[in-house]
Amino acid sequence: MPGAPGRWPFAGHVRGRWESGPVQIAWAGRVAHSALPEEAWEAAEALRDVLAGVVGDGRLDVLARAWSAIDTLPDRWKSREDLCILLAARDPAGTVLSGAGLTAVLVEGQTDWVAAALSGSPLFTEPGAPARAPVPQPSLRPGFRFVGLPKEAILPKSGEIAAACGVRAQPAADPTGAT
Amino acid sequence: MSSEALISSVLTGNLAGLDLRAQTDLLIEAVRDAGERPLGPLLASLAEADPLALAEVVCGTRSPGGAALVLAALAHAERIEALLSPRGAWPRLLELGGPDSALAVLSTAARRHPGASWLVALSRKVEGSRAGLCHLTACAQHPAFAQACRNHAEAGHVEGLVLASGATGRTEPAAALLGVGKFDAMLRAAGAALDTAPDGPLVAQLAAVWGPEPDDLFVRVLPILRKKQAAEALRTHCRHLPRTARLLDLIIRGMV
Repeated sequence: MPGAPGRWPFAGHVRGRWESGPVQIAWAGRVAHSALPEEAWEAAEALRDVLAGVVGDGRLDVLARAWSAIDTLPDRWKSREDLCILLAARDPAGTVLSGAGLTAVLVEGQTDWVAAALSGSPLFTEPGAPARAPVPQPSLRPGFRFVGLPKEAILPKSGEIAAACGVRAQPAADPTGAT
Repeated sequence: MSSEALISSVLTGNLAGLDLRAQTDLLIEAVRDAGERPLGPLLASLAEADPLALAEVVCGTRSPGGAALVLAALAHAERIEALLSPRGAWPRLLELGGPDSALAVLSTAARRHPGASWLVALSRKVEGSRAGLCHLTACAQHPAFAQACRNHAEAGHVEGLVLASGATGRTEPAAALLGVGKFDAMLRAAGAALDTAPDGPLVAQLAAVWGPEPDDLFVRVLPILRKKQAAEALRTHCRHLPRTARLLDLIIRGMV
């Protein structure tokens, strides 16, 4: 999910993944983005807390469980109604997407990022944790890396999407040699 | 009354019988000839009687300038700013006062206008390689502090930001340096901030600049830690930063 212009582009941003056997789920989102960094970090940690360890018996099940987990976010954060999140779940049968507060979802193709969902898709809703889990959507194109564009964000240029999402080069070495 | 007696009287703040607008030359002459005599009483009387005459004497084209005049005028900054724009008044005061009053001018300007972007250029003129220190120290408790840090970072005021971190214990200078890609300077600023205030919001602020997966970043930040209290404070924010948490546990165990 791209950061926003300003001093704190990634306030409240989270990105993570979890897998259990053949079922994988990944998420990118933001919560309390307009708050001060300290508060936004606290909100992001709460979102990480509820999503950590989400498992399911397949891509649809894990998505449903992820939404149930998001529903347990403390009211302090849920009541802000500013959650924007993209969830991607995969199992051997395919990949499905779900989300909230998005205006576009892209998938990385062989040469460029392309739309993964049409306008009018259930992926595109107002920000905030939905009252009911949105209907999962298959990606229009195959791919492994997805980008969700939050409400009122500007789509970065194609070659700058990864950087705009805070994807950084790995450090040369761990100071202690730990891996 | 002789000219010298009149000047002496004016310097005590006695403006009785003077047409201040018509006799600006006399006021300027009094300032020029004041020598070691204080200018405070005259400026105080002018501020009360006719702020326009005060502005003319202090900042006008015929102002004699000098550090003594400018330092005395700082007490009446509000009156001067009411007539000249702050953006115009402060560089003018700086120019007229010279190096002996420069830091006092900058400091007063920073206290009065902590969020003003023109303070960045003024800081560079006054502080040189330490640009930003005075401004950021003056506005550390102001809501515009983070933006001021960013402005100084974008102007390349690296040393001033590092020094301001240590002086204030705030972590915004480190975040601002990270935002402009000054990684080594960010480390120095973060270390200085944590030395002063070990429980500052370093994790939240750096993550808000860096991105949603800051584990790799904080692994590289850990070598700056010098205080166990700072390491322990950092550790409380690392429950989803596994590499950082693991290293911090080792570091904390090794600290006394």
